[in-house]
Amino acid sequence: MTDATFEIRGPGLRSIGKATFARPWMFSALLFVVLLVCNLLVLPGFLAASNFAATLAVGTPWVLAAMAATPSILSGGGGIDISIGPLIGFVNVFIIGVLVANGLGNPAIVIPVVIILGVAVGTVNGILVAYVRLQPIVATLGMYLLLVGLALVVLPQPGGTAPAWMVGLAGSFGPVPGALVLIVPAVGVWIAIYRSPFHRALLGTGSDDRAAFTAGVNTQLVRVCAYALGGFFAAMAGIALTALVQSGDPTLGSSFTLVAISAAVLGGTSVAGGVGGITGSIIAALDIYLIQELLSATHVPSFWIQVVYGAILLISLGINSVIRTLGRKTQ
Amino acid sequence: MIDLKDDNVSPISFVSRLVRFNSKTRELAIPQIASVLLLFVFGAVMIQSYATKSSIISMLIIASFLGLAAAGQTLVVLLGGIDLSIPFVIGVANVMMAQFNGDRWPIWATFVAILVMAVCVGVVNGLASKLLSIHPLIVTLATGAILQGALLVWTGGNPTGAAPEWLTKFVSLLSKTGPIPLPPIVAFWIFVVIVLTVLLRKLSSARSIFAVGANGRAADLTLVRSTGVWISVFVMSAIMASLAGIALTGFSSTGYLDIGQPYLFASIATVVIGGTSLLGARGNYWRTALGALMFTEIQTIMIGFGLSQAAQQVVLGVLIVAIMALAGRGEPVGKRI
Amino acid sequence: MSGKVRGEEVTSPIESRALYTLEGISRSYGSTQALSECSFDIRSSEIHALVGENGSGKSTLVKLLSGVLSPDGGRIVMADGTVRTKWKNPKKSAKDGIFTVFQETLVAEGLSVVDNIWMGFDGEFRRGLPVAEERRLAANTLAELSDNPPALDAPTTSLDLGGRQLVVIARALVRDPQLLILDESTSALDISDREKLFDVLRSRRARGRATLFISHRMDEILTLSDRITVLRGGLVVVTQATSETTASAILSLMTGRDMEVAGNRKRQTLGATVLEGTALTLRENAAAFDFVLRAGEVVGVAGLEGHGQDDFIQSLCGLYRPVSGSVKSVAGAPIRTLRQASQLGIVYVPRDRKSEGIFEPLSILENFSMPTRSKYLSGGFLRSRRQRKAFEQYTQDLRVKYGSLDDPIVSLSGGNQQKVIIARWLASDPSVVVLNDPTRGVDQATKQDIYLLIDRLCSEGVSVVILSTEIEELVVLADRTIVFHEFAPFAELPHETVSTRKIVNAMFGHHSSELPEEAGI
Repeated sequence: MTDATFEIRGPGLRSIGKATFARPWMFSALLFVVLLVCNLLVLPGFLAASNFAATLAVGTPWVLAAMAATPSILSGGGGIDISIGPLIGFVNVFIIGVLVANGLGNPAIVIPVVIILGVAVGTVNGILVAYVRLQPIVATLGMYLLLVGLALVVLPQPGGTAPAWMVGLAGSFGPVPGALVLIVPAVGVWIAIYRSPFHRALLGTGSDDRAAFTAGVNTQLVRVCAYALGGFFAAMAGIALTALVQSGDPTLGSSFTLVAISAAVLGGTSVAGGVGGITGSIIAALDIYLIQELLSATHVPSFWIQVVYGAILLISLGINSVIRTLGRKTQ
Repeated sequence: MIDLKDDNVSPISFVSRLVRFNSKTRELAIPQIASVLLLFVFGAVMIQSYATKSSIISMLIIASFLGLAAAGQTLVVLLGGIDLSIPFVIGVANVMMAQFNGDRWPIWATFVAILVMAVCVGVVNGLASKLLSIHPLIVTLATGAILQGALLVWTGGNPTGAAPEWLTKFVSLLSKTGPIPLPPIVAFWIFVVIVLTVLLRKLSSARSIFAVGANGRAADLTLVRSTGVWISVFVMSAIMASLAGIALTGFSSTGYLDIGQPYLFASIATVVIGGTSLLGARGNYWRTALGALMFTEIQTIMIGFGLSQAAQQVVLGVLIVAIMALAGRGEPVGKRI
Repeated sequence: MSGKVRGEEVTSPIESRALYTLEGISRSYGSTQALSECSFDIRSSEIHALVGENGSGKSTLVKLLSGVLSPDGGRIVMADGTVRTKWKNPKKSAKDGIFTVFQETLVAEGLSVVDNIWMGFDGEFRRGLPVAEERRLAANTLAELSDNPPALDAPTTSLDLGGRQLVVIARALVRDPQLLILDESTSALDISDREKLFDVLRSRRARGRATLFISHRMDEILTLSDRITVLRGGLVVVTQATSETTASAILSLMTGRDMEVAGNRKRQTLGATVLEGTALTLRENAAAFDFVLRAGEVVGVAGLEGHGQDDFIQSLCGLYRPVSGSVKSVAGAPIRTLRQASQLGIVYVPRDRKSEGIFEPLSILENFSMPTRSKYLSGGFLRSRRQRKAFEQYTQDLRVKYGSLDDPIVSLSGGNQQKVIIARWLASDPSVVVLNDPTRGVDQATKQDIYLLIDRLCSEGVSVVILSTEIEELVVLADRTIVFHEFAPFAELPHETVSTRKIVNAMFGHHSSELPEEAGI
């Protein structure tokens, strides 16, 4: 804390500050509303029913990736999973290069196998963090390299075709957007966890693992489960990605990592752990998606996307930080 | 550590005590030094032409680039943070060097421009981390994205220009530095290793980095100028990354946008393998230098074995985890209460 | 089921049996033997005090019983004859009926009050209790502990230290453990909350439960406990009934020597004014007050937790900006920042060593020289020899025990660490030394050394402002004691007439002249 005392002007800022402080995702939700309005102004047909499923499908891998990045950060102790991106990419090439290539492309096999794969990778990460006690960034860096390498081994060149049943996932099954078929179960899993005692064990471990440990929480198991959960969401993201690009590409995965982590943090999850949740990550991932849509709709050259994205991230977090500091001072 | 008056000292227990990763051996980086030597022996035995003069000099050149890129990372990690903008600063400096040289700028002007860029990046990183209390991971992630985008906008995806002659010579395998039989880049790096190590140990303002990294609140209460430290460290990191980028121009001869990409995680791995702690305030640059040597040797050995790019990644990932599991484990929660 | 407490309720309080018998418990850290062959028992229906200096092994013993650490040797025999050599983690010791409130207030900031209380009680994925039941029990327990308990859904970040301590104590109480261990966990509690806690402990005793109560406050121990075990240097010195002993007997058993009490210096004439606070208001709507500090004066500051005394002493050093009014030096400039204060010769020794004082990985020497580095520079480089000379000079009085100055500061005991922190500021030749609870967590010998230091400082004309939660210290040391209540000084008690009773009364906002005289202090 600095020596200076803030002058808090007006009740409006104070109540926004208090609200933001109470709900970590408030800021990203406000941003969502602003961006949605901007998008609708520029592209009136943005949310048209005919297009809605496709629009949603493009954003789905990012939403699920952001969900995947969240539990590990929540679990604290420097928690982070940078292998999320490569895991998503690996799932993609695994579906195409292993399952489909060996005639195992039907959904009854693909979906469970891929989910088990994701959970297994996450579990290994969790064990390295919780039991071997490596710094999470180191453990998941090792896994990152491993998965990037394995993806290239499985599918050296982009190619292949996704199975036919996946087309619907990026489109619709009748009236239902295919994206929801993936997102809803994922969110459902999180809601079940949110209602269970695991949620407070997770946030407790993330806030202060010593407090959780002495209260009787099995902090090691909690962390392993957090990383495993991230792996599960990453597997779903991998399925969504495969449905979207309809083929395999070993280089796609890496770029997901940093965006996913940014979304989690923008959504109110604290890098220190113990604060935040999936709600914010989903909203923030949609924010990032809307930013990209807005930029392309206003014909900003694609080169500018990175600049704008980085600037918005910095400015948003800065504003967020200032508002939350004001909110805290009024407690 | 070992009491020679102890009658129970036998050769086996002596060796086992030496090899055991207790705090004293870790403090002296004995595992790292041993690894550098053992890797060299391994490579020399298993691979034809591994231990030739040109091979060794090649490895030193590559280690120099990595070492320079990881120098800034070392400083930021000592502060308790992490710098993900390094690869993008490398890329920008690299392209600036090639482009401006191609546009026939005087060399000093190019250097000044790159320095200004580095200072700006460092100031933004430092201020956002300290004053806005945003975690450096995210700040540098964002500034990295901005730099990456800015580079694309500036070059339109097609960087032009070429490295000046002297720069190509600077990093060339065949060059010498006066009487020393090493290319100037290697001599320069060794110089940086010595200077940075000594400064970090003895220079009062450098010790402030350790203070802030150890306990930010206590640092404020003991009148350490924390904001200045944060800014200076990130500026230094950007400057070191720029040096790496400039040197790489000599290596690749043209500008290349993604030239810094491998250094994103390689710089972190190098710092960590060397024994500097991600928790902050523990470590020094000479350790990172050892880490750079280890990393480079491992890569060279893998190439020597003919491993594909993919297989190299896999081996590297496993090795990093294995090495850190031996020497870099954290404390169990019970010990921290 | 997890969290279930073992053992039956004992209906008759006279019937007492040994619940946990420690036999030969030992534990070492590296080359230090923290506990050697400790044996004693804890019985049902008792409040058992565990006393010992800092460094005597109390905290280690607590950690062993709690499953945080494992003993190197020895065993624990339980009431039904089961023998344990260790508990692997706190969950396991909870299954055997032991639950601990640690010295450090361990709350999870991201959780609400009720979640903090019940965290860890559940199985991995199954709830231990239905939500409604959890809330009911939590609310009841909090109400038992305080007249003004925190709300169940309040975020723990909004609570002050006292509120957080209540949460951690409630966490233990809702589980109704057979053995409740309280490790110095009442430091920030209001005196009224503390009394309510003691009532709760007594009613537990009546139901047959046991409490292991660790404290250094003799008054609490004597009024509350049935038996006392004294530890010294990792050994059990004695276990005896409280009724058969006295405070001074316990104290000498703890320290192994007779204590000379410092502070008996001649009260001297005070020098010129060095600091002046005019029309200071620490909070909105608090009373404004003035303050004058003179050379060679020792001013004591006291108050219930959160009543402004902490903000006050920090405002003297530029760390806290009062809502209105200002603190000025003799030269007249208002003191706004720590840097300004230190340039004027005012230094601040913070309260919590671990979070505000020490740089854990750095050496003793570096910890010492951090704020005064400019004195040891040549060309920007630190000269080791100059630092060492300064260290020896300033730690002479303090009798710091260390191995090598290059050892990390955490190799020192708590008391010695505190001495280094104090020495760090003495090295800047201050004219005003502000101490925030300097004897917290230090052993008796160190306390004496610090008291003697304060004596010496004021005889040299240095002013000392000392905030202390140990009222007895202020009675002995301070020329005058300012007691804060509701963010303003409520009473200023001169040395000649001060007593602990008067200070306590003032803390609650009662002038001592309003109350009938009470015998004994």
